[in-house]
Amino acid sequence: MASEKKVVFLRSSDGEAFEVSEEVISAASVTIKGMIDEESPSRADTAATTTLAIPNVTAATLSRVLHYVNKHFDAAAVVGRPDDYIFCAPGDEHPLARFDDDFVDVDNDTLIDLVHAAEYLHIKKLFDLTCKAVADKLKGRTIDQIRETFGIVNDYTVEEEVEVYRENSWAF
Amino acid sequence: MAQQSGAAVAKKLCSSAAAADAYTGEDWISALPDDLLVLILLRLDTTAEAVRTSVLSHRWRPVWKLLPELRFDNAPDLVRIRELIDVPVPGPEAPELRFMSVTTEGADPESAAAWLPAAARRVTGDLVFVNYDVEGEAEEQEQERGVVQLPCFTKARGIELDLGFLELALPSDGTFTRLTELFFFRVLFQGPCQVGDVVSSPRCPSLRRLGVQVCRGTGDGLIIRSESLHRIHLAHLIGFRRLTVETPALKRLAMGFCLESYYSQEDYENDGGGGGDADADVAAVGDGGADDAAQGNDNDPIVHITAPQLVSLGWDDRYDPQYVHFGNVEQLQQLSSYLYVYLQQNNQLNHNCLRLLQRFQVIKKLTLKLVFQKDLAHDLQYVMEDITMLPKIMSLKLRVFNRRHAFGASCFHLLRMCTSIQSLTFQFHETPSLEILQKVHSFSCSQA
Repeated sequence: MASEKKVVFLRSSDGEAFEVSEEVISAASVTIKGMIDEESPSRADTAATTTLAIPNVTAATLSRVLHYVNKHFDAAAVVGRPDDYIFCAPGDEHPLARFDDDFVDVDNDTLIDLVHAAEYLHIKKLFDLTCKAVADKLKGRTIDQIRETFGIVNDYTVEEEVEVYRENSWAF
Repeated sequence: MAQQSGAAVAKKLCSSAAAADAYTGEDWISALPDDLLVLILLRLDTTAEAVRTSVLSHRWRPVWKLLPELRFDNAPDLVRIRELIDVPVPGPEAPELRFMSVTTEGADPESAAAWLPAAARRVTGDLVFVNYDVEGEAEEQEQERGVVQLPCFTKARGIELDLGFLELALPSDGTFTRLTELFFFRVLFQGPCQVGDVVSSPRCPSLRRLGVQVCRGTGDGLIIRSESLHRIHLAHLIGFRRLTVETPALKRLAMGFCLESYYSQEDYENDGGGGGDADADVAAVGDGGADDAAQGNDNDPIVHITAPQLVSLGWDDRYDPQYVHFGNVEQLQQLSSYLYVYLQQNNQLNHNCLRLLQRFQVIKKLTLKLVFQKDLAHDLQYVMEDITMLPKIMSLKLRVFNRRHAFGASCFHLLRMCTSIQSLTFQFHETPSLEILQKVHSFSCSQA
């Protein structure tokens, strides 16, 4: 079986390489697990570690993603494994809830990069978390506040806008 | 670095939203593809919140319509809901719905029925409709009520209807091909199509769970013949006297206060305020007393249950082997029933439970609800001594509704008879659920 220490390197779109445990990243990312599986036959004969190109993710984002992945998917590093609610008394917060909150408490640009990275790397939990964080920015805000938050330009004419309001008046 | 990337993505995708040019690099959210926006809108609490985003800009106007889950809470206008979801055939512009829920208050039958056909075309997952009562209005509306026609949901996986006592007509043809779960709550069934005909195998070939609770108009009974049903829960069916269940795959059956409704329908209708409690009480006592004497009475219920795989039986209802027939239920491991700790002299309510316990020699897990009246009036007697034998039990669970009365003696009395138990669980209950139960039936022994 694979030794515990087995690692892979991930090279970001801007050329920076990051080391991560193969086991951990395989558990987290469907995309990278697929890449590793594809590489496997050729790797058997060489002792060299694999470097995988992640062309769609920058170093800044990739390092954040790996921080998340190591927190959530490295069984050894986590007190009370992420999905192991048995360690939590009812009503307790998930042990990583605070980490998650802080993790997505970032500016809009960083958040969208994380959404895209999570989608591309197919890390479901991170994708859920980041989509939820975007949704939270929409919640409880007026239309004008949402436009302001995200820099959305109102391209309706006055008549059109009135029409859309009327059409959906039940929702307001 | 991250910011550049965000800008690049936004720039690339922004070309479709020409008007956003001035904000290129900022408005990344509008630049997201539809499927991603849908995933974000899905994480809002209500569909209304998602719909409100259509006012943001042209880009956003059609997005909410792509949602595969719709939640209309406190929907004021059910006809409007039809317009919102109605398409001849689900497609890319209006996808199939894996979840749809509508809650409303005091809906009239016409509007309650208006959107159901549109829902039937689109729902492939679960449909939930709850019509809450409006305080005080229920009785006024009683006169002029129409009937809600349920369309055939050929694609839905689950349907849960709480109609707040609207009348419902079931579809007389069509197959609920994929339906696995069906729950009716507070429904007044109207013919001509019988509930049993709809939920049986020919028309619900995949149905695994069925619940019919606090409903009226099941005729004088139900005939359920199903190859697929695993669970059935029937409770508080008014005017219910006949039950035939032929279900080779059934694992769990729970039945409560169906045969035990001593009321005629008029009694039930006139009993809104609970003023009829005392009468009901007398009726209950009378009926219980008559059980032994009047054999073969036309009013006796008739129950035939054939469920060779049955593992769990919950029976909070009348039981007499003369008219309740369990065919081959030797697989049974779990049994649940209830006992009153105090009753009036001659009240034979507990006989249901006692006869049922006698039916089985061994029960792996027995759950007994021990029910105390609120006021232990002088005419109530401690009746636990009537229980002189229990089946052989491995595990006993006592759910005690003691209403602050001392419960030790009653529990010890039972325990003394359980010489082979390996586990014992106590559960103490506040009484709200019991209050509801008593409100529904106005069945109470506590009225002196």
